[in-house]
This record gives sequence, structure tokens and C-alpha cells, in this order.
Amino acid sequence: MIKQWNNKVLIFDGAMGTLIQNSKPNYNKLPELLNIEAPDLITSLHLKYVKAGADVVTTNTFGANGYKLKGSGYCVKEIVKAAVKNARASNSRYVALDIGPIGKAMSPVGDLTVDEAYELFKEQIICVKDSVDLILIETMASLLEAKTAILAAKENSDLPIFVTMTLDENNRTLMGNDLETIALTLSALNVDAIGLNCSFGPKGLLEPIKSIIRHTDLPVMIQPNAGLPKLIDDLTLYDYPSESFKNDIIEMINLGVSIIGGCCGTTPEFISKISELKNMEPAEVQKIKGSFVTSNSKALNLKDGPLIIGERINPTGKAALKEAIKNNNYDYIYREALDQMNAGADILDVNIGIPGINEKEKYKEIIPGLQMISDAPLQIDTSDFDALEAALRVYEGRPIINSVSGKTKDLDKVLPLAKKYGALIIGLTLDENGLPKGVDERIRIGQKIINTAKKYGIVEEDIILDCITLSISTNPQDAKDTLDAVEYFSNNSKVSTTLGASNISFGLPNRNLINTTFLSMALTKGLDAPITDPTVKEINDLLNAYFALNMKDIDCRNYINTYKGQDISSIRFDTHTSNNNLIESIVKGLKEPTINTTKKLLVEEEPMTIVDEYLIKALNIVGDQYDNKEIFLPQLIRSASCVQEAFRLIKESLDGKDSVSKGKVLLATVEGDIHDIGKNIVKVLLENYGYQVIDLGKDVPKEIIMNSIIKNDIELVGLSALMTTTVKNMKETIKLINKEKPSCKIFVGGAVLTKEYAKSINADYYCKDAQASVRVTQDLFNK
Amino acid sequence: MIIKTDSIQLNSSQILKYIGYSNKVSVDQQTEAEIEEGTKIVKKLLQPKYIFKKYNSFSIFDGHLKLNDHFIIESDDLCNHLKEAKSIVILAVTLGMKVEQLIKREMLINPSKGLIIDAIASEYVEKCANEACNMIINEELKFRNTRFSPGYGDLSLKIQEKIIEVLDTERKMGLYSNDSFLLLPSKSITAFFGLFDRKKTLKKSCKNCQSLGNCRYRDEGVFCYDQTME
Repeated sequence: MIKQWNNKVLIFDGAMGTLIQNSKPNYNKLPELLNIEAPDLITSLHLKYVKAGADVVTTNTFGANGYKLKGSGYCVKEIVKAAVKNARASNSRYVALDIGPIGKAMSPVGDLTVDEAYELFKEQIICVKDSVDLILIETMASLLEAKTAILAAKENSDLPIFVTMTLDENNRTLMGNDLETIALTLSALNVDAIGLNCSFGPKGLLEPIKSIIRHTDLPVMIQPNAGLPKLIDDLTLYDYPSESFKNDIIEMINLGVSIIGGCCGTTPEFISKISELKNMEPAEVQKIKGSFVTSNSKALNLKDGPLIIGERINPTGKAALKEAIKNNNYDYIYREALDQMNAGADILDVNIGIPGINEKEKYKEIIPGLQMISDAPLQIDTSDFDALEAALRVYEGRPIINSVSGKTKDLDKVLPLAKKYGALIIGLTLDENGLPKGVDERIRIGQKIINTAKKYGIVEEDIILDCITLSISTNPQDAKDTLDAVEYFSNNSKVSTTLGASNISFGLPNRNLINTTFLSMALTKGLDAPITDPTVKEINDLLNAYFALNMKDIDCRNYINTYKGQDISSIRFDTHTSNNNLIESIVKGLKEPTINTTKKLLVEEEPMTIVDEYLIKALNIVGDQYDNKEIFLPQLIRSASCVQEAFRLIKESLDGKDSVSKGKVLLATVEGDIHDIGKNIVKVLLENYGYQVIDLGKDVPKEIIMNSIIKNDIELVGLSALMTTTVKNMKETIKLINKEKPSCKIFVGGAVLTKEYAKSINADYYCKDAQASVRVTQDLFNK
Repeated sequence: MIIKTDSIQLNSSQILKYIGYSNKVSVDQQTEAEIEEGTKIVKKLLQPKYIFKKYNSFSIFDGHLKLNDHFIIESDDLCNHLKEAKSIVILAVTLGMKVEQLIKREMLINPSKGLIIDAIASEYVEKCANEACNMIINEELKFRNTRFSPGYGDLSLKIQEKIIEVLDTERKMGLYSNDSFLLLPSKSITAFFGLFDRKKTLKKSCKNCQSLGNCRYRDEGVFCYDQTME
């Protein structure tokens, strides 16, 4: 059917809810129930749109999902089937199955997981996949939810898929997705039409739809509301004239829109007006082309680069990160992400591969977690195929896959995934014969990757070639070969190029010197996206200078701001000039002096001595001051953060050889409660006193807490609850712990708790604040 | 609908209270500077919106508030709060997702600043809710009473779900309720208030608070809420 409306305008229907409200003003149940309770009414409303000239009617199933229908007395299947029957009875040319949002926020913001949303969408689709003509996924405020619905539609039917998103006044979705990201991501997911609906009236959608049209090759669809709503008491009224609506739609067709219809407040009168436009020619529009990678709220074009891919989220050789991944201490990973972004990373590589973990399940939490806190696009770096697919499914936007080799077997396995999930892909120029020798072999394998990708429908712009960096200490010719290959692809193809540049210096002294020089040579050859560590000062300096020299830093503004008034030599750490007392620095909450003095002390003293003689002493002083109300929470945390920095340095110096942990504490906010600020403060403090904290997060069921206690051999548990309604879950959790592991001690805290109440639910300790939890922990582990 | 924040004045002693300072002590310089900086950051990322519905015909009978056949709420305290009202308004206010992300981010990289930003956002959402109330007051009924939210007194949090549904906040402002009936984004407020034909006090009180008798603020002789009028 898609071909049949090429070059002319396809007409969809208008609002269903508005018509139902008009014919049954006092109806207060879910409008979807009318498919069964008043089928003739629903068919008659569809018929009005058919008579008005709509080519497509949309089933009355916007909210017909398992979550919204719960408790309605009807199941999804019967409502959806009845709805399709009602729509068909109107004799409409086409019937679209309408899929609206589930009505819950997606995790990690809310508690709806991608897997749960998928099942809910699947349930709506599977029962009518053979009896409708297309699926309309509409009014989506979350790109991830839209993507999940698309996957459910693709994997459970062969139907054409149209997708429209709704915007707020900032020209973003309510979840913050921007227009470029929406257009690029949805197009890459291989749907059949994309566009905008609902939002805030047709006038306001003119600019946004332009942006959508420029960033997609697909037909573009629009279903605006009938102007802006007026609120009169408990009624929402639309009074935009249908003639004005038609004029707005004409303007949109002249911008390139080819599928039109209406949303809230539109009636058959509106559709009748716009169906007069069905023979208009939508404008041909110049498209914006590039190699776009996106987060959920930002699109970056590798061709506008160079873009920096931060490499630090990779456990190879990093004991602390390994430990964090193993213990689900994802905050550590999130901090690495933010540190790299602050240092200038545009994209973040995410590698969590360590033996013996379930990479797939961890990715399902880490990827959304990273997307919640940062707007950097991610690069999924794994050799575990299942983990890769799991990460691609939960990713909101267009990620990069790192990587596929030139081996035929690998290409045939990974390229279909890249196509299906709309990801860009890094191709390594090595193949069945191993590492490439010389420039010609690099070019040959690169070409093979390009050609094979083309067979899978992947365009050159979505390929990033890594021409392989080898150490010049063993392969002296290699630097030149790599650079020549970068130059070749840069001049002779539309692919982008990347390099993991630091291999070049392996086995040599003063590696940073070679690394930065090589990197700057590669950049001048056209390297688009180096994978590197922007937190290394030399690399950061090089990049700042490179951007200034290549007009990527307008008016050298960033360069000047970075280096203005700075004597470069003076900001380097100097072991001989730092005489600050560590304890004093911590008590005052001064981060820089704490770091400097710790570095100095590490030369002279044993790591554990620093912990006991300085860090713990300082924290005890601060703790006393807090108890005496000489200082308050922000100051206490500031000091704790200083200790955290010191601990990081100490852990690095230990390099996993020894542990500074003084004992393990498990923390959780009990089931039902999402307040975690207090628990997080307890965590910061305990960690800085040297305890290993296993943080299960918020809203944690008692069984999960119990399992973790057994698995990690925990002797002390901290539980938090902030609401009277969730304190009962705390009681249940304590009951379970006391039954399964009576030796395990429990401290509790939270705004609604009292000492008496804590005792009555059999907690061992009541902590009135974070500092009190430290005292309890110290007492217990010092015994 | 968008709430204009230009005229909103934050009460800095409220912010200090949220982060654990009692009224009497003077605040350290760095905290003061971080509050000032944090306020600027929060203000930049705020996307405050409100939605309301006004009910002119309703009935109150033995602890039940009936707004229509399908919306009946059981709560003595709410009924008591709304008695004599000429109209009843249900309100939802949110600061939006960006502030939520900001708090999460700051708690990770700089917890002391994160705590302060969380407190600033709490103060902002209170003030935005007041601003919304004042925009809703109309010509015929110029007077309102204080906001009464789910969780106050005997008004169950469960009612959040119904409020979200009735006001269609998911679609219109990106405000959701989770499985435990807490609002997402967390810096959001839902509330009831009455419109009256004569002046009502806008001073809050502790009488419906579940923490009465176990309150860290009252222990120190202060109140958790802003003592100036709503």
C-alpha cells in the first residue's frame, strides 16, 4: 500500500476521543471499552471520517494496553479485536491499528522496563496482525517507548509502521528527545513513515516538522490538535477554525509533508477540509546528510568532527572499575562518564567485559542509567553477541557498535544487528588472516566491510573504519601504514575513521609523547573519531590546540578560556611544594589540597597508614563537629568527598593487590520507596570511612535484599524508608532477614522513623542521621 | 500550561532548612555560594508546567468528596479542608525532567552540591505551585485556601493515580505516578484546594501532618514549611 500514495497526500482521520465526548458527554470510563459496550456508536464515528474523505481510519485502541485495561473487566485481545471489527465495518479503505503510550514512565525514571513495555505492545499487536493494514504508533513522549513499540510491531507482524511523537513548547518531547534525534533514530529503525502529532496546535508544529523532514528520507506525517485548548472548568475545549487548520496543513505539504490527519479537538469537518488537499504535490526537500550518532537528546555528525570517544569505561587493567561492575556499583561507572564528558569527550565507549558476569543483564541497567545522567551518545563495546543485542534494544537513540572485524562470519552476524537497530558500526580492518600487513591490506579489508555492509542495506555513512594501530616498537612501519589508510578512506569514501591510538606506543618509554604526536598526525590525515582518554592532560592539551588550529574552536574561545592567565608549569602537581596538612584539608573540605597532599604522602607512607592515621581521623573530627552542630550536612559531605578523592588515589596505588575495605555493608531503600537521597548520603560517608558498600538502590523487594545478604555474606544491613506507607515493607524485610540470617545486624533510618518504632519492628539500631550510621558501623566492625 | 518563574522569589531559609540548618545558625560561605550558583543552574533547567480542573458541582457527605459519579474520594481531612468551598480545584505542577536529571547527576559527581540543588528544586516546586494557584483564582471567586496534597492527613497516596488520569498529566506534562503512587519527576506536586467567596487563611499548619509528635523541625522549634503565606 505504501507505493499507492507516493507523490500524493494520504488522509488520516481526526480525533476519536473528541467525538466520543460529544456523543456521550457523561461517559467517564475508558473510551476503549465502548468498542464492546457500544460498537455501533464507534463504527458510526469511523464512518463520519470515511465520509469526510479519510483514506485511513484509526482503531479506537489508544489506551487498549494491559496496564490501562487492568481492572476494567476486559482483556486486551477482546477490546482490540472488537475495535478492528468496528473500524472495518466503516468500509474505510485502510484501517490502522492505533498504539498509544502505555501510561507509565520508562525506567530508569519510572518503573516500566523495556521488556515489560515490549510485552504490553506485543499483546496489542499480535491478535490483529492479519486484520489491519498498518500500525500507527502515536503520541509518543519517549523515544525509547516508541522504539520498543516499533520492535514489538516488527517482530510480531509484517505490517507497515507509522510513528508520530508529541512535543512540548520547547520543541522536544516531554522526556527531552530533540527533533534531530527523533528523526534520525526512527528512520534508522526502518519504519515506513514518521512525524509529529498532538502537541500544541498546527502553527507551532511548522518549524519542528521542517527539521523532521530534513533529517529523514521517509514520508513525513502530521496530525496536529485543533489549535490550543481552552480550559473551562473541568472541560477542555478547542475552538480553532477548520479553515485555518486547512491553511496550516497546506503550508506543511509545501514543506514536504505527505500524510495528514488530526488529533485532539479535530472532527470530521476538519478532515473534510483537509481531504480537499489529497492531490497536492508535497514539496521535494533537500535532505541533511551525514554520519549521525545520537544520545536520547543530542545528535552528533562525525563529519563535523573530530569527535572524541572517551575510552575510560573499560575494565582492562582497572581493578576499581572491575570491582564496581562486579558489585553493581554503577555509580562508579556514571562518574567515569561525567568526568570524561567534563574533559571533552563527545561519545562514550562502554565496555563492561569481565569474566564470570552476566554482561547482558548488566547492560540492561547500565545503558539506561548512563542515558539518564548524560547526553553523550554511547558506543557499545562488547564481544558478547547477546549482550550487544540487549544493549541495542534498551538504547534510546542511534549508538555505535564497537566492533565487527572483516571476517565474513563476523560480518554476517553483526551487520544485521546494526541494520535492525539502526546503529553505526565500527569495522576493524583485520580478517581471517589476522592483523593487516601494510596499507593495501588495510584498504582491501576496509573495502570488504563496506561492500558487505551495503548488501545488508547499511550505507557508507554509517560505517566507521578502524585501520588498526600496532606498536611501533615491534612494527616500525605500522604508524605510516595506519595513517595512509586513514587518509585513503578519508579521501575516497563516505565512511568515517577511528583509531584506538594509544597502542602505538606500547613497550616504549614516555608513551604520552608518542601517543599525542601520533594522534595529531592522524587528525591531520582526516581521522574523524579517535578513541582516547580525554582526562589525560597531554591529550586534552593536544585536542584543545588542534581545535584552535583547525577553526573548530571559534575565535579560539575555548582555548583562551582554558589557558588564560595560567602558567602551565604551575598547575602541575609538585611533590615538594605541597605542605598542607591532610587532616586539615579534609576537615575544611578542600579538594585540590587533599589530592595533592595524598599524592605526596603516598610516596612516604603505607596506604593503610594514610587511611587510619589521616582519613579516618579527619572524618571523626568532622563527625564530631556535625554531632555538635558546628557544621551541617553540606560541609560534612564536602569533607567526605575529599576523602573519596584520597581513597581513589590510594586504591589506584594498591592496584588491586590489597583491599582497603574494613567490612561490607549492604544498603537499600525498601520496596515501594523511591526516596534515596538519604541512603546515598549514608553510602558516601560509609565508603569514605573505608567500608565496602553494596548498594541495591531504591524500591528493593525484600527477597532481593535477602539474596544479596546470603550471596555476599553480609553482617550489616542498612535500610531506609521515607514514608509511612513504606515502613511496613521495612518491617517485612527485617522479619525475613531475622528468619534467614539472625546474625545479620540491621540499622534503619528515614524521616518517618523513631527510635521506638525502629525497636518495635526489631531493627538492631536506629540512626537519626547519616553520621549515626557511621558510628553504628564502626562499633560493629571494631568489636 | 507554563508557569512563569521571573517573579518567583525563593525563600533561602527554607532551602537551608531542607539541608539541615536550623534557623539560628549562620551558614558557611561555601554553602551560601553553592546555593546561589545552584539556584542559577536550577532556574536555567526548570520547565515548570501546571494543569488543573475546576469542579463547580460536587458534594461532600460523611467523609466522602464526590466530584462526579466516577470520582469519589474518601478522606475526612480532605472533606474538612474543602467544606464551604464554592468550587474545588485539582492541580498538578511539575518542574520537568531536566531538573530530575540535574539532581541525579550532581549527586554522583558532587554530593554536597547535589543535596543543595535538591533542596532548591523542592523550594522551587512549592513556589511554582503557589504561583499556579494564584493564576487559577478567578474573578468571581477570588479567595482560596491552602493546598492539600495526597499523603496529608488521611488522604491516601493512592489517589495520585486517579489525579494523573483525570488531569491527563502523562500526555500533557510528562508527569507520571509509579507503582508506589509517587510522582515522577519527583519535583512535582498534586493538590486539592477550594475556591471561596470570602477570605481564607493561607497559613499552613501541622495539624494534618503524620510526623506531628516526631518532627525533627519542631524539635528544633522551627517548621518544615514556609511560614510566610502560600
